[in-house]
Amino acid sequence: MIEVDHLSKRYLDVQALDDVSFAIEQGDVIGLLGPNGAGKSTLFRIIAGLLKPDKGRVRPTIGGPTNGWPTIGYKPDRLLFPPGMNVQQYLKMIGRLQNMRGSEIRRVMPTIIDQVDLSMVLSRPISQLSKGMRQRLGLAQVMMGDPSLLLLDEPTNGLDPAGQSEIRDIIDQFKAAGKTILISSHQLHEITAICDRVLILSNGRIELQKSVTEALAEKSAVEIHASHDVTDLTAALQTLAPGIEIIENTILLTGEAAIAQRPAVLGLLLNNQYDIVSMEHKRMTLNEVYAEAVQ
Amino acid sequence: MMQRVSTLTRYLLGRQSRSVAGGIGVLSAAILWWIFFNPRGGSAPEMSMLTLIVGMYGFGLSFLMTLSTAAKVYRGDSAPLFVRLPSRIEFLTATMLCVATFTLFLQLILALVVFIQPGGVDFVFNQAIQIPPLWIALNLFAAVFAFHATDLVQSGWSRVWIFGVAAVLLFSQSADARTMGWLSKLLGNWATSAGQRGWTQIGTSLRQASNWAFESGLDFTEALGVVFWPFRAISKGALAGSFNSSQALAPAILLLYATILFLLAADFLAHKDLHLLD
Repeated sequence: MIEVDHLSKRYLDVQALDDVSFAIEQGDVIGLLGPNGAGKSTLFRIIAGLLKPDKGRVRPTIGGPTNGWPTIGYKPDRLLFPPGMNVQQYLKMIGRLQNMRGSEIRRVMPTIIDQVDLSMVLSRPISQLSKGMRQRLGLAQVMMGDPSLLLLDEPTNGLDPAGQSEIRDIIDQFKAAGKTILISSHQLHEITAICDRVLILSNGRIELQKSVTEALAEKSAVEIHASHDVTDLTAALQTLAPGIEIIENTILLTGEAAIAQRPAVLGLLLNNQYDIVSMEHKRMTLNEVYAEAVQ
Repeated sequence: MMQRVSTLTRYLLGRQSRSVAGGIGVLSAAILWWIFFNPRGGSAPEMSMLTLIVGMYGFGLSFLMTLSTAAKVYRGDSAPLFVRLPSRIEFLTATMLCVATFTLFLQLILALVVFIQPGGVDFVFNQAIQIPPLWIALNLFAAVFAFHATDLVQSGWSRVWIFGVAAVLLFSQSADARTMGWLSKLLGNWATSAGQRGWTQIGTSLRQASNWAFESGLDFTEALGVVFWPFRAISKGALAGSFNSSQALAPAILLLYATILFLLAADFLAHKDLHLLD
């Protein structure tokens, strides 16, 4: 859909983005992680066209499904809405800006409003909405006009756990509808649950760019405890795959290749008259992957 | 594009008419009426005065409304709106239309009140048909000129350059032989002072500038002052109650200025970072 190509952006003496490259394909749900000041919002604003990069560019993928620039729905990190408008007026205005006709707006708006559960406050001034409702309105405006790319900058920011869960459910619905989404969040469990791919930014640079499954599997480990010291089998075990470590009666298999050799390791132990006391699959959480990447 | 621009114009009009700036616009119209057009038993002003006074009021109000409207556009709540537009210039166009519509509406209301009130201004059809191009040209020029003073449009040192050039042109327009004599003398003193300090090159340059100001500076500043001809022509024509064939071109020239300034503003806006404010 779009390619982010060697993007750099500097604010006075701060390098906000430094040679950032990645691609967003149709149907991708990408989680953008990073500490405050890592450059996430700058990246969103450049993709949304609000900021101009110093170097590099954002361009539509050649031969992509959107046939040129995708239409973009953008929810900024800050919850700001025009004063003096109610929910309905605001969504109608966004629809008109997306070239929707009046009849189309009347047809589509109820579905979106139901999806984000704002039907009870349609005529209420936006200034009187709670933070959770304003976040939902932010998501509703993103959906108006059925844009092909959704940019969601910290959509659960400042919400309590119940509010976060509600917003997560809404984003899950967007995902189920096949939307292409770039989402940033400090809630790592949220990214694990929603996203297919993860990008970790630190000091303006991409430190990790993988599918969530890969990122978690790469750092996972299996720990096998034998009945007694297995150091005699060290040579035999280590020929099976890299990432196999033996410490007295414990065998540690780290990384996908080593974990794949688990049956062979167990077979070797049993053939050599060792009993298996326990076997534990230790999965690394995204928190640990993130902490390691931004160190 | 028309749908997007009209949507944004209506949105900005609604927002401005409920704002303090909108209130000030209405209040200033009322004050203007009270000062100039309240009969209070005296004789009614002529229609030419109405054309000029309300035209100048529109010029000033357009300038101030543009500052206020552009400040509202350059806020964080506009981010989702900008993202939906194929071109940022649509927002600029909407801002200009909002200001022009709001100002013209107040001008027309004011004129209507002045015409229909007892003891008001006598309506002269031949003069009335001259009003719309005059007021619209003045309002649009003021709005587009004011864009360059706003955060929405300014890019780098653009504000300093544009208003600096305007200041120089204004100076040129009011320059006479006495002013140029004073300028020549000032430059001559600086040249002498620079020579005494041993800054020969600077001294020579200043001396040349001083000589130039004395000999041909006036011709040059008079030539620069031509830029303000449309304003002079409009005021003369409006006061006379009719425009001669060359004066009638003045609103068109003003619109040409507005077009150039708008293109410049559009280029600045299209290429700048939008650091929208909270």
